[in-house]
Amino acid sequence: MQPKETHIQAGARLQQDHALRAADLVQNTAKFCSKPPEPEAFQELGDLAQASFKRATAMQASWIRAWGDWAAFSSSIQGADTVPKYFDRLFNIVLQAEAQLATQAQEATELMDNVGVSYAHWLAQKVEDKEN
Amino acid sequence: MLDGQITSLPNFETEGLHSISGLSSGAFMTVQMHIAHSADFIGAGVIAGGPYRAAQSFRAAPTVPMSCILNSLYVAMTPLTQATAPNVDKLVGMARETPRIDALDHLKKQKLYIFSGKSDAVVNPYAVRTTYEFYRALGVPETQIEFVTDIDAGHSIITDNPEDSPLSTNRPPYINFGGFFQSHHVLEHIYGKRKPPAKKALGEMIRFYQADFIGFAQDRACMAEFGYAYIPSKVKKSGKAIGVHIALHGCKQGYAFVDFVNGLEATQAQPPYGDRYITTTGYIEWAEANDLIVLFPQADGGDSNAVQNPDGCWDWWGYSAADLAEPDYYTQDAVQIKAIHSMLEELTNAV
Repeated sequence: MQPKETHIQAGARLQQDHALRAADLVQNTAKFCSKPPEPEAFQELGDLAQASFKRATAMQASWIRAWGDWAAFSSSIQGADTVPKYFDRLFNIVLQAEAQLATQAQEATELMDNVGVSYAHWLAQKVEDKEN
Repeated sequence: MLDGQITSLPNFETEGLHSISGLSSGAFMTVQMHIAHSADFIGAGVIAGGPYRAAQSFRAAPTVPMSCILNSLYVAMTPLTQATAPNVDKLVGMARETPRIDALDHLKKQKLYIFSGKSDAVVNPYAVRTTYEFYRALGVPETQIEFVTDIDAGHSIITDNPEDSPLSTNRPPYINFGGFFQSHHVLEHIYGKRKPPAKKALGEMIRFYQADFIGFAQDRACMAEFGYAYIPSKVKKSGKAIGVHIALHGCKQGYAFVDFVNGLEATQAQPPYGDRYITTTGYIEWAEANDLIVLFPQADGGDSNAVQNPDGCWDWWGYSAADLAEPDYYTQDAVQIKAIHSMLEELTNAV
């Protein structure tokens, strides 16, 4: 079981983990660059960059679609035939925007993690190959 | 078919032809259990799942639990390229050194059905390809593996039910309409050409307490209160079956799953998935025609410091370990593997 943490403790722990992961990455990148890499490594790195770009582009396109839908939804109020329903419809507009922002923030950080972990995994394998 | 009774699992005489299949986390779990208990099985079906111990592909973070989570999310499920997917040679090496699993030689005679949808964005084709390569590297002949990659399906088990989601979508409950029952393909591949599926499953669906099989680890097993078993009508009368097939649902598919919204269980908006994976995916109709018992164990969700499993997935990255720094989700001692295997023993009066 994980110990109970305050918001500050959890944030600090995650930042520390991130810093250690980044330090590992720098160290492995230096090891990787210390000897000339095999030609296929450049191809694989290129593929990785291209795949990352493709995911980012797809994510951006889905965000644009989602905000377009929200704009259409929020441009008018439908079915507000009572005062409670009117307030319900108004809050739906705000809540949908909030939910969208939260989802997009999560998607963006997930993609950053995905790219970082993918690169770190690839690099760790290359360094291991060199060391063996 | 399902009455209000909660019963114990009965015993049956079987020919010992047991198998296992699953979707997504159920597929990852299928692989862990299949490798751990390979002596007990004749085959497995892996729908959108990665290879054995893929959550330990490399040291992705300073702490073990976080490393396992990052590996499972970004190496085992959504690698960006084939070169960043799980390293098969490494995982095979780990499997050969893993204690408390059956001898890997048992795998050479087994039949494998492995599926990856072309539009799967949750466990992508790069990840699933490594499952195929993993089994090949362990000596399973190519002729015994049906590796399907040419269907434009999203993350799902495919059915012939028009009310299910469109084929290429990636959304809960991850049951998509594709004009055929994928479970039939899985079972036909493992058991060979047998009788066509029955029009109706006229046997008995048994509801049992899973806690009876979990023992001391109730707090971290993350398994729902009830599990289910389908007993075909002829098996019920004769007490004889060809074997037991274990069908493992994926994340968000257990009967007890409730989504977490803003950190709270959304009990007011509980999706009506219920027993859909059990009753509508075609397993029981095939089983009815061919005297095969189907066991449907059920996982549950949790979103706290005690258990980090908000989507109700099976444990294939270590959340149920007594010590999170020493994950043991892949051996015969793993809480969920042990529980499911005990159910199989109970049904078959010892495997």
